[in-house]
Amino acid sequence: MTEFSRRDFLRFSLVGLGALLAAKFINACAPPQVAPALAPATAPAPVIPPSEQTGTTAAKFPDLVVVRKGDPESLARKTLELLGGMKRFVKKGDNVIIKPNIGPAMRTYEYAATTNPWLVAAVVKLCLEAGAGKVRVMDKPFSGSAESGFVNSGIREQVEKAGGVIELMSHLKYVATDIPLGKDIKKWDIYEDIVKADVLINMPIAKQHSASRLTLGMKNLMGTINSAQMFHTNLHQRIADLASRVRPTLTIVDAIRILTANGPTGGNLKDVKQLDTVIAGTDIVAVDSYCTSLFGLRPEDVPYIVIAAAMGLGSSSLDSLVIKEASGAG
Amino acid sequence: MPAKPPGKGGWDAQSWLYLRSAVQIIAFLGFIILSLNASQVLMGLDPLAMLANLIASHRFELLSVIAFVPIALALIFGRAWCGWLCPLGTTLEWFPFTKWLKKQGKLPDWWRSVKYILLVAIIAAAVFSNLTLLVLGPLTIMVRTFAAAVWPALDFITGAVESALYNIQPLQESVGHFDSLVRPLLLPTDPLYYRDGLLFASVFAVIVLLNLAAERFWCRYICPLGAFYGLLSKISLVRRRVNQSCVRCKLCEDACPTGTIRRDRDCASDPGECVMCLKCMDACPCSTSDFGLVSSPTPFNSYDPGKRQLFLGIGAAALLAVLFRLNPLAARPKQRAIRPPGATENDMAAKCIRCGECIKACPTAAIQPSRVEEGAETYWTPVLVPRTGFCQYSCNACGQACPVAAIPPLPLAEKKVTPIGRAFIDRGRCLPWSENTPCIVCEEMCPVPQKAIILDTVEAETGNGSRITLQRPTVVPGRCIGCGLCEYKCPVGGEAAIRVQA
Repeated sequence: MTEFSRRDFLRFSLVGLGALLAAKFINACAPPQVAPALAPATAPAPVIPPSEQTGTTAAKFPDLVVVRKGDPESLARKTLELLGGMKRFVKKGDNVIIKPNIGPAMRTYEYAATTNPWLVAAVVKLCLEAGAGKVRVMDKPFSGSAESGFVNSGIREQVEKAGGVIELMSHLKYVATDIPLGKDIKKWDIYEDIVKADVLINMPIAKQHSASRLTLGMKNLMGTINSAQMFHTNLHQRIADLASRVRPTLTIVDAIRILTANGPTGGNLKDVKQLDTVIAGTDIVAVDSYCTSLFGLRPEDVPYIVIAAAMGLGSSSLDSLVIKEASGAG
Repeated sequence: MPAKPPGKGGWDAQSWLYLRSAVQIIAFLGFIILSLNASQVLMGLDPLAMLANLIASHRFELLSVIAFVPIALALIFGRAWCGWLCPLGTTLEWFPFTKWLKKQGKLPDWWRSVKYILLVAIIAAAVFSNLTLLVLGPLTIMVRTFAAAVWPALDFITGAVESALYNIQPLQESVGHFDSLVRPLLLPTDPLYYRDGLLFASVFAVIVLLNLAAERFWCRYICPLGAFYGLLSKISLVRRRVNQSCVRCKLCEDACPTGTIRRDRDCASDPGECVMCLKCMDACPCSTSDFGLVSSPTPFNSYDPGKRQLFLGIGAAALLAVLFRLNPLAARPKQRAIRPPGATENDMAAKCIRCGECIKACPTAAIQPSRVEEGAETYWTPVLVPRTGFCQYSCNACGQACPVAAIPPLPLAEKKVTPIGRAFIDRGRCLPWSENTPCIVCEEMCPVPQKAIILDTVEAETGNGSRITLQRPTVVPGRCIGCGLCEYKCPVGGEAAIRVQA
């Protein structure tokens, strides 16, 4: 056996160090990037042809879709059908990210603390059918490891069956991101892939929450950032600020089973109400506004909805929206 | 796997050495895989730890039957465990410091009895239901050091290199791929922190550096497990033999890593010291020494355990057991550390073999090695430190990993309702209580089905004179299980405003 001498060691270390420095140098030589290298913040809205946006051709697509009755897959299919088909949102080869809620890593879906796994899987399938290149499903739970969360919630099993990919969110990919429209927070660590995705589908479950009152579409975006617990000193404003930067293409609320008390963690079946309903739309504020009615509340009861509407992120006046309701069964 | 006695017409010495190196590498890899998965099997292979546990806890763990394998090995091949399988012995062999090593043979022979005194002390202390000295077991040292120092350090280095490379645009994708390859398979998804990692690494480094004083210093003079096998080796079947034609050339004496071959004693060796490394066979120019069946009794050595070592060991153990219990903490057990689910202070003193498997098993690094101020007797037993990590609600990994049920293997449903402590709110630090700033993180996080933290909505005045409505948390004692998620997530800097106590 050859000896690995001290000289060899030093030579090896020097080469390694040199390579690292060279890498740093090359990096420094690269064209300067506006940190972070993300889509321009002035155009935060999802890429949907103007002709299809609310107001212009109101008749073509509804602002909101509410589908009741049926199994998760038929609820999802009916929802997307009413919204104009998944092809309206997902183009061929698109990089799609679905963000469900698996915040409480320890619950199974019955407790309505995490998004229904069959609903998530159905949306994965729809994306793939529409030609998506890659469909990733990710969330960062707050009460345990993501590994356990994906298993306990049943989402890993169903998503992988449907052909989607589970991503354990890597701490590498949280990048300090400017929030130009933010009132309270101007910068926060946001998951880079989520900001960069071609299509982001937000899939919260409707839940009671002590501070924000309800966990809905905008609250669910807190799973895309680091140090979420630092949000709470000015929770409502910060949720709205985040929603101004992370703009889902589509928000699909799982109201198949909703959690009415002891949220967002749940754990008691007495607190769960079965509604077999899915609410979806491109306007996250409108979707959240509608969902307040599931709990017998009004949009103005939830401060972050009011703030977001005032910031111009969407509409909270349910009367002015085109809402299409249907049954998923049969 | 262990050494077969090389027959005359069999392999040459060099082939045996290659075989031994291969076995050592495989055994070390096996150790790494077992330690990575916090496997119980590993500690089952430590007969001393299992025996001490049996004496102290009066309970026979089924796992102990594994320990009969290395015992049988020792009865046949002497201390082959030390020279072929022990991960610490292998590490020591990989760092021989041959260049700097002072010429051997200077250290007094009676030092060898230290390990026997230690062995007696461990067994005697176990009779007094005390297992503190097991911190000196070679396997516990390895497992603990890997769990709280080596793996975290590897994780840190990997993370640092990854983030450096991730800044380089063209490398981003491959770094991401690499990251998803090694996490969570080898390294945790998010960095975990361990207190006293530096201490463990230092202890380990000292053991390795002792090689500067003598090759395999630890194995010769200190290792209590080595002493245990040393005693068995006195009656082992296969031993080193020196035949009459030996010319006393001293080459084997120089080659022997444990210094047990002595020219002034006809180049014979003590099977209690010999680790069956076979280096003497390779060094011998006239093939006069080999390993084979020996039935004659082993001659007594000056350092072998006799009455004196026995009394010293028992005396030291009795003294330690008494002194440990003078600890004032014993009078107020509730002020003591938070223990893993279902474990009691008594379990920690009398059952825990200090291996640290639970530290490795805990996915959130809630379990940390205890310190002296949490009880000297239970030094390096598991405690929960919620500010470092929280006890995950649906996880019972520690109980499953514990080889001796010092942390009982609770079914998940039972673990979820087993209180390990209780949360107390510090109103002087809590944001809504002390400065009328809204915050409800503890309530939001609380994982029990009926929240153990409830909120009171009050109207309060802020510093600038405006009135706001905010919610103030209160703990409901009967519901809290002490998991510490609230303390972990509390956004108040430094010490949390809600803290769990046992």
